Parts: sequence; C-alpha cells; structure tokens
Amino acid sequence: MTLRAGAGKTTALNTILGLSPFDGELRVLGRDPWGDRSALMRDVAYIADVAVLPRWIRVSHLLTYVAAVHARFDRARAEGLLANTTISRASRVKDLSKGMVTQLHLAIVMAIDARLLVLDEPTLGLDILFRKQFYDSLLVDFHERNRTILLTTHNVEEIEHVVTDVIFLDRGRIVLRASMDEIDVRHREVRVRPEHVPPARRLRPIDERDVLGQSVMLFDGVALDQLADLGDVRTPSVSDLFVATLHAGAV
Amino acid sequence: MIRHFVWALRRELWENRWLYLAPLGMAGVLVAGFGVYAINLPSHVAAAATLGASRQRAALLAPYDVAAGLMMIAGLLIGSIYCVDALHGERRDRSVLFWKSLPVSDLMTVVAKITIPVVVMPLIVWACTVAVHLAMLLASTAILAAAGQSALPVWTSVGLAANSLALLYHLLALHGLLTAPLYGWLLLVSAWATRAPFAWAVLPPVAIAFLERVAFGTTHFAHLMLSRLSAGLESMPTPAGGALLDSMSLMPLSQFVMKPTLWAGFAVAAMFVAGAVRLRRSALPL
Repeated sequence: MTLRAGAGKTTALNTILGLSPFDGELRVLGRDPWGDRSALMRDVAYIADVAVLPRWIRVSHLLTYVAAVHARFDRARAEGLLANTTISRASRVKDLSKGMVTQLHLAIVMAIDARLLVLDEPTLGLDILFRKQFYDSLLVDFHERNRTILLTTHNVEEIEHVVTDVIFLDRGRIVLRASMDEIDVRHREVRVRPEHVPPARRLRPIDERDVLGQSVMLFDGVALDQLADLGDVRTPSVSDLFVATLHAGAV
Repeated sequence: MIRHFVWALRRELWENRWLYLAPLGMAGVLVAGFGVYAINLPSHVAAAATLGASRQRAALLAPYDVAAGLMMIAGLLIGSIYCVDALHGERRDRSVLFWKSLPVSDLMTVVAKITIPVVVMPLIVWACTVAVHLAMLLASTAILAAAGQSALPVWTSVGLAANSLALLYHLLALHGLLTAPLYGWLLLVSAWATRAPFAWAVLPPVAIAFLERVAFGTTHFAHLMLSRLSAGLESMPTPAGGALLDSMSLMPLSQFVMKPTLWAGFAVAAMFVAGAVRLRRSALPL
C-alpha cells in the first residue's frame, strides 16, 4: 500500500488488525478481526506505529514475555537478529535510541512465524544501511516462508523492487490496484519531443508534467509501437506512477 | 491459559515495581520507627505488667496494631493508584498497540490487572507486615534482654503465628475481595478517561454523595463508600475493647462467604470489569 498522509491508511490497518470496529464484512485469515482479535494475533504479527514498545521494559524481559505468550515466537531467531545490533539485553527500552527501538521491534516481529505480517512504516528513523539489510532479510523471509506481508511506506523508491502488488489509496478510496507485472506491461512514460506533443495528448496520457522544458507523459494501456515514435519511452517507477495517479485524481 | 495469566501478572509486577518496593520501604520506615519507640520499651513492659491480663495484652499489642494498620492503609492506597493508571498509562505511552499485537485477550489483561489489588497486593502487604512484626519482636527481645527483662509477655501477647494467619484472612477477605468493586470502578475509569483519570474516579462518587445529602438529607451512599473503603470493618463484629488484630479472626470463613454484601460487591465488580474489557477492546493511544 502506498499512500499520502490522510489517505485512510491507519484506519484500514487498524480495522484489519482488530483495533477498530467496522461496518460490513471483513475476514482476516478466516477470522473476524474485531470479535476475535486475540486468536487472530496467533497468526498475525504487526508493527502498527513507531515507538509503541513499553518504555519501562528491559530487552531481556520483553523477549521472555513474548516467548511466553506467543507460541510462534522463535527467541533464538530474535536473538540472532539482535546480534547484528548494539542493543544490550540488560537495557530498558527508554534508554535505547529511536533507531534501536525500531530495530528491536523489527527483530521481535520478524521472529514471529506469522501467516500475515503487517508493517506500517517499518523503517522510519533507521539509517540507510539498516534499511537495506531489513528489506533484504524481508525478501529472504518472504521466499522462505509461506506468508503475506502487508507493508506501508511513504518511501516508494525503497520498496518498488521488493513488492509484488501495489494499492494506491487516496482519501479512503483505492485509486490504483495492480501487480508489479501489470504495471510493467501497462504503464509507459514518454519524454515527448516538442513536435509530437499534440498527437501524444490525443492518446490520453494519465499525467503530463514539464521536465526541463520537455513534456513527460504517462500512459496507461497504450501499445508500445504507438508511443515509440513520440519520444523516449521507459517504464515508470512506482513513485512516478504514484505521483501521476494522485495528480490525476486531484484534477 | 493459566500460564498466560501468570505471565500477565508477572508483567504487571515488572512494570510496577513500586507495588512491592513501596510496601518494603514502608516496612523499613515502620521498623526504624519502632526502634525509636522501643528505647523506652523496658519501662512500658514493666508498666504493663501491673495491669490486668487483657489490658496488659492490649498495651503490648498496640504498636503491632499500628504497624499492621499503616501497612493496610498503604496497601489500599497503592492498589488504588495502580488501578487508576493501569489502563490509562498503556494508552498514554502508546504501548497498548504493542500489547494488543500479542495473542492475549482483553479479558485476560483486565482480569490480571484487577487480580493485582485484589489478591497480589494483600499478599505483599501480608508478607511485609509479618516481616515487620517479626523484626519488632526480635528488636524487643534484644532491648528487653539488655535491660535484663524477659520478652516472653510480648511474644505471648502478639502470638505471631496465629495473628499472621488471621491477618492473611483479613487482608484477602476485606482488603481484597470486599474492596473489589472499588478497584473495578477505578479500572473502568482508567480505561475510559482520556485525561485526569484520578479526578474522574473521585469526583462522581463525591458528587453523588453530595446530591443525596442535599436532596434527601441522607448519607447512605457516602456510608456505603466509606464502609467499603475502610474494608468493611464496620460490618465485622468487633469485640468490646478488642484490638485490631483480635477483631480480624472473628468472622468464620463459612460466615464470610455467605455475606450478601460480598456477592453484591462481586456482581458490581464484575460489571465494572466487563465495562473495562469492552473499553480496552477499542483502546487506542491517547
């Protein structure tokens, strides 16, 4: 899911995770998230927000407690993930830096063998090195286990090589829902040569922007051979598509 | 299930170490205070020896009663403060989002939280009080021995073993079970209030008592509240002129469990707990 602020992401996630009531029908892994939250949490792991770990708890106590109440938590795995960090088992959460708290929470969540993993802005406040490591291990994890990972982020560039499907939400409405393969096939970005701008516009681009005096247009479902003569064609990045889609929606 | 419950209790004690550190500190203060008082103990004991048997006993027992009474008041205060913060604090510091990501139900969480003041606190207060009494007895023995007096009258008056059992019963029955509705109310307010849970907990009962006084000129509600707060002592038969530690062992367990006020209290407490569970279900950070 990729969204801008206020799009309805938190509401959507809270509903999926059984934190908020809802109208209508919703099943997560076959369960009613609102009525059956604690049972659902045996199969779901999530980070719903940054800095929610209790500040008073010791790292070692935290691991012990989660291991005691969560049948699918693998403490050895969490310890292994923490071994790459400088987090001491004896520290309290309040004595850790913001980035360390995030690392700790990620280590716990990644050590839960959940069928659904929900990560809301998981890398906020992490340095680039740890982000890269995190996404690499997320990918490995995804391929090793049969699980669904639902991830939200404002950093679209960071995830476009990781995700299989994207949903764009704007003001509570889904504005684009596609697999990455579909996006590769359907969407084209063309740097249109000035003389071709009128015919290009007739092909109804979903977005047009001006880059250094040249018109850059984004097309959805227009055949490649129709576009090739207009200018330089390339596959847009997810972030380009995101901006274009929201831009189009705002007009 | 039981295992999860025990872990939930342990978690509460990790988070609120003052639940046992405060009574321990209080115990230390009481023992130190007794040390000051006990400088004159040889003359007290000698003076008491001139009294009749029951008055001698009451005189020697008095400091032990005071110590037990102060520990009980501390226990009630600690339990109440804990409850007011129990479901408010986790929303204030946002950790509720983490706790709810674990497979622990809201019912389990809230029941564990009310178990702290109803069962765990009385046990902590009991252990600390017994330790204080024992320390006081040992100090008395040493001081009296130094003055060449026998400590036997003190030991027989206090009757540590029997009184400790009576104290345990008293704490669990009155400070725990009979006070459960009060703790339930505080938990409910803690789950409901977005700010100033303490004010919300105290003001409505005070307002009701005041309105009753103004409208009907009666004080039934205030009386009910106070009798619960003083842990139902008034509903206990008290021997004429008897000391606190004596009065505790008087109501037989069989009679206590038949008390309608106990069960009415449970019903009210259960209602409050159910309300708190419902609120916890939709609880999000403040």
